[in-house]
Amino acid sequence: MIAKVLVTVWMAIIIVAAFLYANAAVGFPGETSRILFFHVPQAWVATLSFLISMIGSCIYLARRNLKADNLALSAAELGLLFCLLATASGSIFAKAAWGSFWNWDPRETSIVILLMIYGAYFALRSAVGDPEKRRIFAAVYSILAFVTVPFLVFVVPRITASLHPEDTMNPARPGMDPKTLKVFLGSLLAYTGLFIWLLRLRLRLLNLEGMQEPEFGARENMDRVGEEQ
Amino acid sequence: MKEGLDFVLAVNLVIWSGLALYLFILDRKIKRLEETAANRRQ
Repeated sequence: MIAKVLVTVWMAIIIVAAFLYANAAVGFPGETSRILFFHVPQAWVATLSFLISMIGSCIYLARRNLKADNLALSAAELGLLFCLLATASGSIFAKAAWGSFWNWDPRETSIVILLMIYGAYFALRSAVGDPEKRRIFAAVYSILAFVTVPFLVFVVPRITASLHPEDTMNPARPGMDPKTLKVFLGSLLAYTGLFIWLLRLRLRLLNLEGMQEPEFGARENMDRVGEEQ
Repeated sequence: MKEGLDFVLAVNLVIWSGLALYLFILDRKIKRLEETAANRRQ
C-alpha cells in the first residue's frame, strides 16, 4: 500500500516538475521538448515489459510453470499498451515539430513493426485452442519476438538518417541540462513503479481467473463427455 | 510560465489522479475477490 501511494505521489511530483522545474530544451519549437519526460519512459517501460515477457516465456518452457506464462502474458499486454502510448505521444511531438502526425521516420516505422509483432502474439494466443499448446507456442513466439526488440528499438533507428532527436535528448550525452536530467530520471523511476503496479494487478487478476474458470480445453472435454452421454 | 502550460499541467494532473484512483479501486476489488476465493477454498 505504501509503495502504491509513493508511486502516486512521485508521479504527481514528476508531472509538476516536468512543467514547472525543468527547462524547455533549446532547438525545439516552443515547449515540445517536455514530451521527453513522458514519451521516453513509455518506450523504456515497453522495452522492459517485452524483456520480462521473454524471461517469463523462458521460465515457462523450462519448468512448465503457469505463473511464468501469466507473467509473460501480462508483461506482453503492458508492453503493447506502453508501446501504443509511446507511439501516440511521439505522434503528438511529430505534429508540433515536423508538421505531420506521421512521417514514416525510421523510428516510427520500427515501432509500427514492433506493434505488429506483439499484436501477432495475442492473435496466436487466441488462435490456439488447446491451453498447453497455446502456452508453448506463445512462449516460443515471445522469445523469438524479443530477438527483434534490440534491433528495432536501438539499432535500426541509429543506422539510418532520422528526424528523431538524438543529441539533445540522450541523457548519456554530457550536454543535457542537469534539471532536465533529474526530472527525466525521476520520470523513468515513476513509470517503472507504475509498470510494476499494473503488472501485479494483472497477475492477480489472471490468478483469480485461473482459480474460477475451467480451462478452454477442459470445458471442451466436458462438452464432449456430455455429447457422448 | 509560458501561456497554456498551466492548462496542460492541470490536464495531466487530472488524468493521473483519475488513473491512480481507478487503480486503487481496482486493487481493492481484486483484494475482495481474492478473499472470496480463499474463503471458498476453505
